[in-house]
Amino acid sequence: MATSFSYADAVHLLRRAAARGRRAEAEQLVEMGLEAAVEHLLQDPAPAPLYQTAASRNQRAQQHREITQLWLQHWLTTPTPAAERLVLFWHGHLTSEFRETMGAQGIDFWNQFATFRRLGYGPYGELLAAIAQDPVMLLYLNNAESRKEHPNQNWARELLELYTLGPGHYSEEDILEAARAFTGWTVRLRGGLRPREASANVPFEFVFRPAWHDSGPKNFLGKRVHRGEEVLEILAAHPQTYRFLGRKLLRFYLSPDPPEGLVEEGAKVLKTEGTRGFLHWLFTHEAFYRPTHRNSLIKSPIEYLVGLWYAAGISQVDLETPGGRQAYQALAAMGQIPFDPPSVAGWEGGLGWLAESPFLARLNLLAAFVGRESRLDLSVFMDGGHTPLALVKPEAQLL
Amino acid sequence: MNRRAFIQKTLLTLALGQGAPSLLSKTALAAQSPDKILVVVNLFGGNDQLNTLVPYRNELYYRLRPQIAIPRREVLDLGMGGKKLGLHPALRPLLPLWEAGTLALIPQVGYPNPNRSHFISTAIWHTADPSRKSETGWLGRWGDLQEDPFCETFLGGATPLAQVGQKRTAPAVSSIDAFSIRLPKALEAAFEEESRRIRQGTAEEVRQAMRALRLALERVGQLRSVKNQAQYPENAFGKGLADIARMIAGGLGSSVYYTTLGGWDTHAAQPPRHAELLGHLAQGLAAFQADLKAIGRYKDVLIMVFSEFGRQVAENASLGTDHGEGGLMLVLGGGVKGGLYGEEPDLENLELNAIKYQTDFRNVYATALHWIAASPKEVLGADFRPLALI
Repeated sequence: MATSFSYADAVHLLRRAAARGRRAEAEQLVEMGLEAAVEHLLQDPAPAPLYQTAASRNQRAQQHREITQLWLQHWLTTPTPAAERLVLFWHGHLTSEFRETMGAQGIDFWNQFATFRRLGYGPYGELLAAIAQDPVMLLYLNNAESRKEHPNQNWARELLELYTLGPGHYSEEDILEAARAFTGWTVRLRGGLRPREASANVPFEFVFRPAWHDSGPKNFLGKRVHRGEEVLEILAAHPQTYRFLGRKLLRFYLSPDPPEGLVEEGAKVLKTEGTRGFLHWLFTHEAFYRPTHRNSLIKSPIEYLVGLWYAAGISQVDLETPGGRQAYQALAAMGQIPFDPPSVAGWEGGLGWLAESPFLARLNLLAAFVGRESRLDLSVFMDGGHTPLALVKPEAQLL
Repeated sequence: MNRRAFIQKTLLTLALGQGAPSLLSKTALAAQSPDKILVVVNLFGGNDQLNTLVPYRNELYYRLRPQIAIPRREVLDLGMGGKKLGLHPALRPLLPLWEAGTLALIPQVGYPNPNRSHFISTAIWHTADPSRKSETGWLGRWGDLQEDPFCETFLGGATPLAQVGQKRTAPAVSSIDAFSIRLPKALEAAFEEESRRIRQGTAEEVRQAMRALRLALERVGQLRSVKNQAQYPENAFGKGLADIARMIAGGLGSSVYYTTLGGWDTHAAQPPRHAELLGHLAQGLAAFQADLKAIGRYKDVLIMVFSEFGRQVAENASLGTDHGEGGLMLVLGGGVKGGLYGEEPDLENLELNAIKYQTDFRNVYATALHWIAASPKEVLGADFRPLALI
């Protein structure tokens, strides 16, 4: 990194790392200097609020609104917003869809986010191992019902294609063998309750059922294995996992089309130093501050909304008020509802966010911010944002 | 000048030359939209062919699917034309179309070296390139040859790869009624101004999106007063088809409309979910056909339905099915020669528990391209023989 760390650099760093900021915060980062600023941003996540609901297990739409509200409000108020942008990354990478995950409750999804916070900065192998036993994931990708007689292939396939190696680095047989290794990995309600007798605050927990497990040997990526843990270990040790994940992180934090050299370099850092080490490497890298990489990403709808709310000094989110309902509907229309990615591949992002209908939904949000001029501080939200009229500049969409 | 304006102007000149005002109004109206229209429906997630077009006289089908097979007595008989296959009961709304000879069923459609990933297989269908080298969609390549940015339209949030070309991407409109800008005057004026100032890099790409949006606001805004002539089911798919019918009736001018219906990834608890989805599909399509009849465009519109793959043959332990290979396509419309275009699936000769494909999807695409007078060779890069269904 160059010796100077300017205000413009700090704005870029803050916007990228946290998708949220105001002038004074960027100025504070400049005073700290680059190294300390990066460490400040990458602190351990502040604890998120606990989630408790009065809704029943059938009232899932209400639960979905509640955890959405809790998360957005937490992102707006936490002293560690960079951890929440990373939660968004993990949520789009190690995906689960609320709509498609029958049986899972708001509390289960909130627990999954807690795992992203707890392990998100650490070694990927540890996060992956935790998510492989995460009840939401086991239910979402149907491993919870997978038995030795007819293994369910859904989790094994996405594990290889989307979460670790990426296409082209395994065969259909590897999927079948991995699926066998994970048979018997299932869930039960805490306390052994049955869904009918439990409140919606009772979460699922992981359980291994030996009777459902195929204990025979499997041939996975050329190695002989028996258990799901061994499959995960092989994947966590595989350099390709880090190339695949590192590229994805660079696409999220640097550029839609990251240079190959950085992908290779980043993969090594990611493997040896974990995700925090990777982000520290990136945020202090000279390339991160190159003009070509600034303003080169499109804000996702959640980043756009959180950034805009924060710029307007809003810290209370109530999705049950008319304004809150509008915001929630706007998230749907813009194409990004929290806890509900469109598919197991997560959100594609990029210019797709600005197709006609989703883009229109973004612009139609702006009416609500007019009249808040006195509190609106766009200095971190966008480059060149001096008055509210700037909100319709192309730069308002950029991260 | 866009294509529509060009046609109108040409026709206007012609008509005035002949001094026939009645002819003028008639031809100008006809020029509002091209004659033939293609509607593509993408069933995302991998629709299970075997429980959609059911081999209900095949004992092996019932042996391999002891829990989830469609009981023989519930299957809708297609008569001799369906050979030994019948429809899932939730597809009953499509039965009159089959009987009228306007529904074509094409089983075991796929491509060489099938890929069982949703995303890779979808990309192959969208680019029409199993070698996975092409970065543009098949309809996007066609769109690149057209004048009018609205030559094709996507009904939904973000345009699929199929409609992404080198030069442009089809406009994405998820709902006609919600498609209006509600900004204070000062911001609207600023938006106009900003969309004119050329930028660099990603900011310039955003500015292009702003311009595309402004154009779409003008075009789609004119459709708000158009009403549907049929009753559609109350779900997102039905609403999308209802809006396509309004776009056709209101003369938006697209030759291609594209929409999606997701949720077909039935790894577990398949039967109720699959029945519901097939119901949405059939009810929506039946309403759409009735609407097109009412507005006099029934014979002009060809509808093509596909999914990225079919599912495996033997059920899994979760009352579901895992990813397979070849799948079922449906082609329907007033100009279609209905019938079964293919054989009963061979359940004795499987590839890792999946039916092998028989018909290359690009042959069906070639048919669709012929329908809109496009060149299959130009779009698909090679000669694919169209099916004789139009």
